[in-house]
Amino acid sequence: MRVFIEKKGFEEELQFSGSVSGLLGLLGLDSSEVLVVRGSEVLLDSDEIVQEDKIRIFSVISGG
Amino acid sequence: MKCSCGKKAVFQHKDSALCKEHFIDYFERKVFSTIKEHAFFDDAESIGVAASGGKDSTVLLYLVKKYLEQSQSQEKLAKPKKHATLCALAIDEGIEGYRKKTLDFLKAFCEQNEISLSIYSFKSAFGFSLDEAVARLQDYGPCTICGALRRSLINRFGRKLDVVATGHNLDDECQGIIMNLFKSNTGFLPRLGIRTGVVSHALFSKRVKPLFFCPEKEVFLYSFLKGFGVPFTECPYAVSSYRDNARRFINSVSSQFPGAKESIASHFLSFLPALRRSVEKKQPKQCSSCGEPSAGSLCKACEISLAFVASR
Ligand SMILES: [Zn+2]
Ligand SMILES: [Zn+2]
Repeated sequence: MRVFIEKKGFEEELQFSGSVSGLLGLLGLDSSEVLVVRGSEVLLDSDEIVQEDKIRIFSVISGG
Repeated sequence: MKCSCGKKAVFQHKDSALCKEHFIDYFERKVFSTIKEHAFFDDAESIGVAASGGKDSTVLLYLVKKYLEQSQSQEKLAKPKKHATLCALAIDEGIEGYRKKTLDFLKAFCEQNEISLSIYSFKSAFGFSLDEAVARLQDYGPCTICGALRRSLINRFGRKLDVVATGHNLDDECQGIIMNLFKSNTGFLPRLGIRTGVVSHALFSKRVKPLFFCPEKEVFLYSFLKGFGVPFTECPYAVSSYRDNARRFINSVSSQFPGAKESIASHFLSFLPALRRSVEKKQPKQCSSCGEPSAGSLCKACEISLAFVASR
C-alpha cells in the first residue's frame, strides 16, 4: 500500500490491509488529528482498505 | 457506513453518519446558528475577519460572507445592517519562506470571493520584521514577540470596525481552557470564550468566534470538501509546546468519551459570566507610549520595540 503522509511530505510503501483505524494505529496517528483519503474519497475509521489502495493522510491541525 | 440518505458517509460523530452534502449542510447550520444565537453581527455595519490563509480563517471568511448574503434575503437569519461590509484583515509578520505562501493564497481566495483584504505588516507598523526581531532579541521567544505585536495590530485596526471574527475552533478553545487550568492561570480564563474583550471598553475591539463549537477536524473536512485548496504550511518557529500536550490529552479523552470537547466548552461558557464579573470592575490601563490597552505602564509590543531599538 502506498501511503502519502502530508506532514512528513513523502510517500511510504507499507504492507497493510484492514481498517483505517488499524492503519492509523500502525502509523501512531490520532484519528482526530488527521483526515484519511483514498483518491478523492474521504474515509472513516471503520472503512476497510486493501494493499492496492493509494492513501493520503492530511494533518487537520493548523500550522502544526 | 451510510448517511440516512443512502450515500456513503464522510463524517461520523457519536451515532450519526453524514454524506458530503449532508455534512456541509450540518456544518453551515452549526456556524450560522452560533452567529445568530449569540447575536454576533446584530446591528453591525462593518465586519472584519482576522485571516491568515490557514484553513480556519478561510472557512470562516467564506461562511461569514455566505451568512451576510443569506441574511439580506432571509428574514430569519438577520440582523446585520442592510449593507454591512465585510473585509479580511491579515498580518504579515515577516517570516521568510512561510508567510508569503499563505498570503498569496489568501489574496487569491479574497479576489475569487470578492472580499476586500487589508494586510498590515510588522515591518511597517513597528519598523522590523519578526525574523529581524528573533535574530536580535534573545530574551523573548518568537511566539511571545509574534503574539504581542499581532494582538496590538489586530486590536488597533479591529477597533475601527464594529466587530472582528476570529477563526478559533473548538479544539483551540478546549486547549486554552485546559492549559490555563493546569497552569493555574485562572486570571487568563476570562479572556477565553465565544466573545472576547474581558472588559467592554472603547480600547478593545469586539471579537467573536463563529467556529467556537466546531472541532478542528470538522473545519478541515469542510475546507477539504469545498475544495478551497488551503496550502499546508508549518510556521518555522513552531516548537513542541504545552499546547501540543494539551491537544494530545484532550484528544485521547474524547476518543473514549465522544462529545467531551463540546462538554468542556459549553461548561466553561456557563460559568464564564461569573468569572468575568470578578475582573469587570478593573478598567484597563493605557500604554504610555502607544495608547493601546496594557497591563503595565508600557504594553508588551512597545516593550519589545524598545528592546529592539536598544539592541542596535
Ligand atoms: Zn446524506
Ligand atoms: Zn504600547
